[in-house]
Amino acid sequence: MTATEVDETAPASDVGALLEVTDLSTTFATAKGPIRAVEDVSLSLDRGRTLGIVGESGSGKSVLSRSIMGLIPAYASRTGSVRYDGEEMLGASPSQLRKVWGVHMSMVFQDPMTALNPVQRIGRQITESINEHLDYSKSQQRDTAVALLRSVGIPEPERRLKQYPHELSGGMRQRVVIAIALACGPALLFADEPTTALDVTVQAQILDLLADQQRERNMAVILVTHDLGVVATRADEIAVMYGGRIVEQASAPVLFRQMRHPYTEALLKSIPRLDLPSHTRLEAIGGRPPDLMNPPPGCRFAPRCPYVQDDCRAEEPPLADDGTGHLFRCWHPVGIESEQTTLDTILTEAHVREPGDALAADGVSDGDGDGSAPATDISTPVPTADPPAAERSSAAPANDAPATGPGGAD
Amino acid sequence: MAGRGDAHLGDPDDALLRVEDLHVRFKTGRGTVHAVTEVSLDIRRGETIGLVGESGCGKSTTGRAIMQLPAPSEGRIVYDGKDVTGLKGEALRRTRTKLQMIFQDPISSLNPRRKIEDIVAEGLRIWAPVQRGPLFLAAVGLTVLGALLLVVGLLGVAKGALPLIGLLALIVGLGLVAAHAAGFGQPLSAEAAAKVDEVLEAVGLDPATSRGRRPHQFSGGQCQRISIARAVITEPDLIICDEPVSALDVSVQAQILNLLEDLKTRYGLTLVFIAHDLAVVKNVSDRVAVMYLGRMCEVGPPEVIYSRPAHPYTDLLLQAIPEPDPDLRDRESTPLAGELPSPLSPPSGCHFRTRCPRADQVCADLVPEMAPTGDGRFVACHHPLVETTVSVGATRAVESDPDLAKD
Repeated sequence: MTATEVDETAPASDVGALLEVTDLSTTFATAKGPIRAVEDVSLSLDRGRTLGIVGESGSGKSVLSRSIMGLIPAYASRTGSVRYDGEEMLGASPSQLRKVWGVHMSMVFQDPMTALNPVQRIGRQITESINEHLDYSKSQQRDTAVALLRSVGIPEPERRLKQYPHELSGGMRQRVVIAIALACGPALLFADEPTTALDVTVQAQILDLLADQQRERNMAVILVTHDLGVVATRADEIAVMYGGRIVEQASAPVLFRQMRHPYTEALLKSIPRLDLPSHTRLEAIGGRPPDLMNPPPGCRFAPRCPYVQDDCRAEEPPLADDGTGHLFRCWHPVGIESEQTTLDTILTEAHVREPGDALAADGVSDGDGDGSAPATDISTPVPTADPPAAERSSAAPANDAPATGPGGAD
Repeated sequence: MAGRGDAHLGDPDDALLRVEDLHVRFKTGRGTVHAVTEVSLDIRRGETIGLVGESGCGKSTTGRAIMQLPAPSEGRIVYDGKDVTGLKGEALRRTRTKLQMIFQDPISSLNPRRKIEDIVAEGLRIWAPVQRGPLFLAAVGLTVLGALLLVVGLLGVAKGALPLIGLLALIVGLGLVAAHAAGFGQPLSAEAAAKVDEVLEAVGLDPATSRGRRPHQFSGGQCQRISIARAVITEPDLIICDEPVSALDVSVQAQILNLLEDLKTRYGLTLVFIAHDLAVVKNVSDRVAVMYLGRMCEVGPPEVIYSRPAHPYTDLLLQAIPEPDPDLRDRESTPLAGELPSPLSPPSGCHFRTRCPRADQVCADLVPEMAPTGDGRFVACHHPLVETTVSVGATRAVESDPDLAKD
């Protein structure tokens, strides 16, 4: 409904993907030294497709989307290449970027409480970018804003235009943020944790809304989240990030059924699931994410990996393709050298704690013998074919870096 | 749903804590916020009860009302057979050693200027008998000396600055005695220090390295461990965990959930686990209570509630959860439409009726009462998805029109 030059359709797609990122690295210069927040990331995305980027805090997922968009502070530097619709964006000047932001790429931010200007009416915030980029009259701008608010499911849009953000609930504010992002009909939408600050029911509404708008406008969407549940059903392709790098990338069904990277496996195992009984012991990931100022030599996940071997600590594995477009960065991928974990095995191997069983399976009291940093977090038992036994035996010694070979080997 | 009644309460003798007909209201400039309305709940010794619902459903307020933070507007909180509602001063503080709380944001709930050992030991210090060490004797001596000088000065025996100095000494002396009595500057007794080490170790921190550090030197997950250590050190019976893992990454969340389960066994704790994440609540709970806009909807064992929700709200809530399974891409789900009504003027009758697909006139007229469904679960709904057995606490709707309750 916001008529713009969106539908250039076929000719553009001949050139290649809408977004083509090659070897993108982002480095922050800090007083203590450079931090490589994103390293050697390559990806491509077409119109109408959704790429999910998953990772924990500090994995570089948000910095990656901001780096692609060019929304980075002055003390950050980027290398590599970001091609949008065939054009190189990395060296773009601020005035060029202004022409791109909003019209071609825009972003939905995480926190709707802070993403809106508290002292400006909703209507003004929506028409701001329309006014900047499109040659609309005042009444056209207003009509567009009303249509946008209606399309994101806000009742009584005419009245809302005159309201201030504090008069709206969190879910409504996030709808306004989405309306602002969509105002000039972008072809590429970044959604950076768009639902993390919202309740689960509102989250479902917002994700459905994003999907509807994507379909209607044939947008490409990059959905950044820490929640595997959110991307599982919403993304076509998923990239898992760890320590600033993509460690695994595949289509959603492949990633969940034939995961190769131990980190992906560990992440999926640590989530409490609705279909598991109460008091199922969760398999936490021990240790902490790497310090990006001094990343560990070799594989970044090696210090926390249950299958770590000597070569993992010596040299970092490349991001390899298994021939089907499934990429993973691991010397000893799961499912090839050890037993394949899938959603189904997670469900069947789960260990439900019995009364009186807890202390035995408890790595807490005798953990932390390392005496190094203030308390590494309790670590993961190594998955084995016989889960209850594994719980007991592996929990205690497996602190920090459980260095016992591929325990998952059957 | 979103009803009232106490049919779901068990034998009072089994309950460690009973919440009876709780109301919490806040007066604001725009009217009265009805945060919690007619909520009853019993918590049995050794169980974990999960309180779930969206923001604004009153789950945190219920947890805080148990701690008398603030005291309920109406209703009773009975802990271990004693009514603790309206307790004040020392009696309340003594009760709170047995009722502890863990908060959502692990970093802001720790004083950044204090060392970990002081944060964790504070509960012990407050109740530790005052040690009459040389410092205490000196403070008492100073007070006595000051009083003497003052009296002598006032009687006119001594002149000049002496009475003034006396007054000063008296004030400082009294201050020191008071500070001493409050536990300031007292070294931890060997016993207390050992206890601090024990709980730090129990929560998975290395006592030797972590005692002397301050909160900013720890990650979010570790700060939450410290909060947990601080809660268990007074050997409480009940810990109210208010969204303890909501601020944490999934991998750390799993560590903290496992830790809570371990500590529950180790210290024989009873937990009230407040969270908005239904999967997390299911993982830790023996019973789950679903709340909506200040009222209780459904209480029961998680297996029952999660597999066959009886309240339409629970059903919609469960459907909204994104499951990490791409095969569920095309599953049918009805999103919960609309917005939470204002707690300033909640809807009449059932609070959920404005968004409920099954609502009709009865729902607007009558507040549904808790009724059993025969599988250990109780639901407050005029038109539940699972039939209720009409028994104690049968709704007034049933009396007026028996067909309605069996809808």
